[in-house]
Amino acid sequence: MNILPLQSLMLNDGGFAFHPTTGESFQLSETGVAVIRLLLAGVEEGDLPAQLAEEFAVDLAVADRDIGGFLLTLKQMNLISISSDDDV
Amino acid sequence: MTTSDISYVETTMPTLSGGVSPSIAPRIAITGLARGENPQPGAALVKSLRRAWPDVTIVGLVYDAQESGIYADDRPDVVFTIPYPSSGKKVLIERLKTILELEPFDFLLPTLDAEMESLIQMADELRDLGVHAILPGADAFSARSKQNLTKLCRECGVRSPMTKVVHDVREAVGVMEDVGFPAYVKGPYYDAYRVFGVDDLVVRSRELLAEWGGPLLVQEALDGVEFNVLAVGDGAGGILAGCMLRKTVVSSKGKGYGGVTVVDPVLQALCESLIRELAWSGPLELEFLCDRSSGEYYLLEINPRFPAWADVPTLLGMNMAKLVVERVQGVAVEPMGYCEPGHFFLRHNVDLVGKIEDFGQLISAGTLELERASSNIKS
Repeated sequence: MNILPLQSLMLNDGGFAFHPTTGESFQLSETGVAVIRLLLAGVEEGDLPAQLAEEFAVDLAVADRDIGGFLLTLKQMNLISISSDDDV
Repeated sequence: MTTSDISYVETTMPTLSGGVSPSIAPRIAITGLARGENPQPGAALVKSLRRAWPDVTIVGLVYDAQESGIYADDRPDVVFTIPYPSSGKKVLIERLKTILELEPFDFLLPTLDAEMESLIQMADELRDLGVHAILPGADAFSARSKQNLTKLCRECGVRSPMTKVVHDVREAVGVMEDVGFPAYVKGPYYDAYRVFGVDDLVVRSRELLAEWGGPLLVQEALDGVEFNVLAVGDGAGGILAGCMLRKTVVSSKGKGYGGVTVVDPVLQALCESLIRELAWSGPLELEFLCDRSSGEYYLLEINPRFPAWADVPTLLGMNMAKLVVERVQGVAVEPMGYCEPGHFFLRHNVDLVGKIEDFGQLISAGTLELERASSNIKS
């Protein structure tokens, strides 16, 4: 997964995010902020569900499903790119 | 921008005191002082110049006594009426001679599309009067005209919407088979209307021809977000300063009433290609549309002067008005790069009052000098 565009995002603790290249701004949920911070910290995609499940005290399956949907959204927004070999 | 510590980028706003120029305060005439529904750039430039030189002498040259900047708190030091460009070169030169006897100035910074061409043609006469007009070269001015824009884009590898130059209503209707609806019909200097059918197109074309004359441009309407870039060219193909803006608030007339600064390497490369090809000297504004479906930038037009938001980069520490004046003063200027991303602007309109006697004097005598309140522009 290529997270280079994500690295330029300006993000605050409240989840407000600004893309300095496109000028788009958007509001992330608490879990969205958590996922982005984990990605930027170098956590592998496959390890995200477990980390999120622990942080938010949810079932692993729920975390896995939500993360999948969120990563798809990030991909659609061109903030991450996933190669055809990656398992989304 | 740090990546290990995800938080808002701490942006240090450069102190405006750092922007005061060490060079000699110029005596400069500026046009375009109206700031209403269709804001002109002049009043923004007055602000920027006063930030650079608190003791600058600003002479306002106005076509209309209702140009609101005449009566603003930070108004010009003195205002003179001048004849419309349609009156001809000779009439303007005679009027400027009269004005210069009353209030000498050394530089002229025009801001209105409708006056640029005639001023470029009379640059030598202006110089003979001792006035250095801050203008682009004639060839560059022509090459970026609306009629020549498609050719320029092709030469620079920049996309542009399909555009047809038409001279009358019949021709406008005739090109619609290629262009398709919805489309824009634009005047040679100002005004653009989105049209959805032949009836629209006919009405608007007639209006534009009556107001501005021809030719008109009929342009395909793309769906996307507008990005404007204000830049200063060094005359040799390089860029001395730039500010990229994504429009976030657009008035009903299509004017930008709010925006956010960005830095996009793709957009930067397009601007550099165009400015290099034009070898542009001085200020210009490049208007782009980022197509929503493809994400590609399309050049809509190049304005050969500062835009109405010219004071925004100054407020961010990049005073381009000061830069262009220092350049013509012969001060050595260094490239300033681009404004930092992540700053927004919003246009705020205020009400002004004045005495009808002052208004009347400007109309009858052609000159008005109003004492300025203590300037609220901090240097």
